[in-house]
Amino acid sequence: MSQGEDLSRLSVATSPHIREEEDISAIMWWVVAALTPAALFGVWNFGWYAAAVVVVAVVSAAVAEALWQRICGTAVMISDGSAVVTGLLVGLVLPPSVPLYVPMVASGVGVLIGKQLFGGLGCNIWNPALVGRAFVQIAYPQHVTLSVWPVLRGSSLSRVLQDVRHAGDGSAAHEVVLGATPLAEQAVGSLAATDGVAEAMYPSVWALFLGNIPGSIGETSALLLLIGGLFLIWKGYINWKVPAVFLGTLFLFAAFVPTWKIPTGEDIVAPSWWFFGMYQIFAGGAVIGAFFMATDMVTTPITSSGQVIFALGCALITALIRLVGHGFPEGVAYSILLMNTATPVIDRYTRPRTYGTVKK
Amino acid sequence: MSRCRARGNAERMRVDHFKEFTRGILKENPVFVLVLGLCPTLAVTVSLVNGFWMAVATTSVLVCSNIIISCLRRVIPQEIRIPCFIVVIASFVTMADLTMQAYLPEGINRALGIFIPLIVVNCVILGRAEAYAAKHSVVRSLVDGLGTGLGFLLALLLISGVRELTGSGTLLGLQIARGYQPAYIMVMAPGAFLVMGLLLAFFNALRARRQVMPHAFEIERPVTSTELKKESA
Repeated sequence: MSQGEDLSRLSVATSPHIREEEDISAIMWWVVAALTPAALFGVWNFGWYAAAVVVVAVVSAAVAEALWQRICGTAVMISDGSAVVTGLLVGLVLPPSVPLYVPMVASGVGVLIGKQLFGGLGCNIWNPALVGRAFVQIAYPQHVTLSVWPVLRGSSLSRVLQDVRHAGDGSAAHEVVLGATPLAEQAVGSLAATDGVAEAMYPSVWALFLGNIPGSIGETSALLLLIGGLFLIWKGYINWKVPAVFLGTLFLFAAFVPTWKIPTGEDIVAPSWWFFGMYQIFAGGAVIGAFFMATDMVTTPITSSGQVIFALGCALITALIRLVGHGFPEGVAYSILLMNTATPVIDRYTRPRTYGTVKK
Repeated sequence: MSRCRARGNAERMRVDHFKEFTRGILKENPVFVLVLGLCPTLAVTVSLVNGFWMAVATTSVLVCSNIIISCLRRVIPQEIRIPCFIVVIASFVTMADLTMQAYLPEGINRALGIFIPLIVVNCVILGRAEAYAAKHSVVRSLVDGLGTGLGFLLALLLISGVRELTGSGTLLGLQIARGYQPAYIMVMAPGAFLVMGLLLAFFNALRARRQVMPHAFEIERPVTSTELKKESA
């Protein structure tokens, strides 16, 4: 009896020997489902053009993935949904006024350079959607840093933009409406010199929470993102500690660390710590970042303690970019990309003790 | 008989020289294979013109320093050879710098700026001096310098062409496509790293294609929970 025969009769499978039916594609499609309310709200808020931006982002991500896999001769894995999630996230973090080639380029760069060149799903170092977003932010700053006030039902985006351009006396009105998300206003301090009370210059916390504010398509409604995120936590796909630590640290930093960007002066009362902290959480991309990007399974640490360190780092970098740095009003995307870079190091130092060994 | 052998010898020498010359272009391309001299490669390749003049300056310094160092190779003491090389290279860099300032348009000089004096510390030049010119004859060092310089020139033209085309929508300052919206990132620092990395990956993939990749081991699929339930039922 030769050894070859023995081996052929033995069925050798690697562990795990029993597994859940739930696989990558199930998780990815549930993530898509969790993002859908925020996406629909974005369309309702900003008009049909926002829907076109999201659809173009999703389709080009899927097409880029399929083309690459066809060229490389590997199995085409569109149905696993990871490219769709990437495209959807790209669409949701872009402003609703961008020309349609911007989501196309962002999705293409995110999927091809951010993911496939590193070896595909599971091998990428950085969150593909954020790679795409960062690329277009630097490539087309004139489009991506703009944002528009929400378009309420019944009026198309272009008409409102036209009204604004004609109504304003020159560039000032144009700029306020087109150029300033709540965070950008605070960064530039453009409205600081107007009113007596600082809080009157900003949208209320309630408006920020509901999302009837300018911003990227899918990032404005904290409420719907929270619902989607809590659903994913309930399903067990993401660790609740990550968004909790991320948003909590951001709140504490904004509320209690004094920075020069809080506008004060003789006739201006600084916003209360409560307001400013809530403002930092709900204005901008912190909620979508904390629930849907800092929890990406591929590019964040494996252990729970590692994920907490990751979220802490994200929040601190975000706060530093927003409140201390010059030039950038928003730092969530860069903070997550930077912490993605640090993920292997975090993983190394949070390695759990091997079962059965003694702690040294 | 002897003349015949001499001719054969000369032919072999010529073939050798040709090999030395082409080696610097493809097999040992300074940018894509040796990955040397990246500072100018990344910094000035914003437009085709900049890349061209950078490579011309580097090549002229490389050829001249190769010749001089090869001439002096028997009198340079082994212990202090690097300072000697640097002095020779720095002299030629100064000449190249002053010549370019005298004869090239102001815009190109301003764009190349500090990177022309920085040719002194370009690894390609010091590397060829150390690895080749210090050990070979004058003619061979000249050929080696020309080949390596041409390889450097082609690499820089490729990178700067891609970056100018995508980042400004132009080639040699002429607009290529009317409706194209230039992506600023490509003429900024991240664009340099991206283009460099992508081209490097492309050439590595071309080379890897010649080698046979071993097949991955096939792993049997684990049993799913429902299958297990079915089996037990």
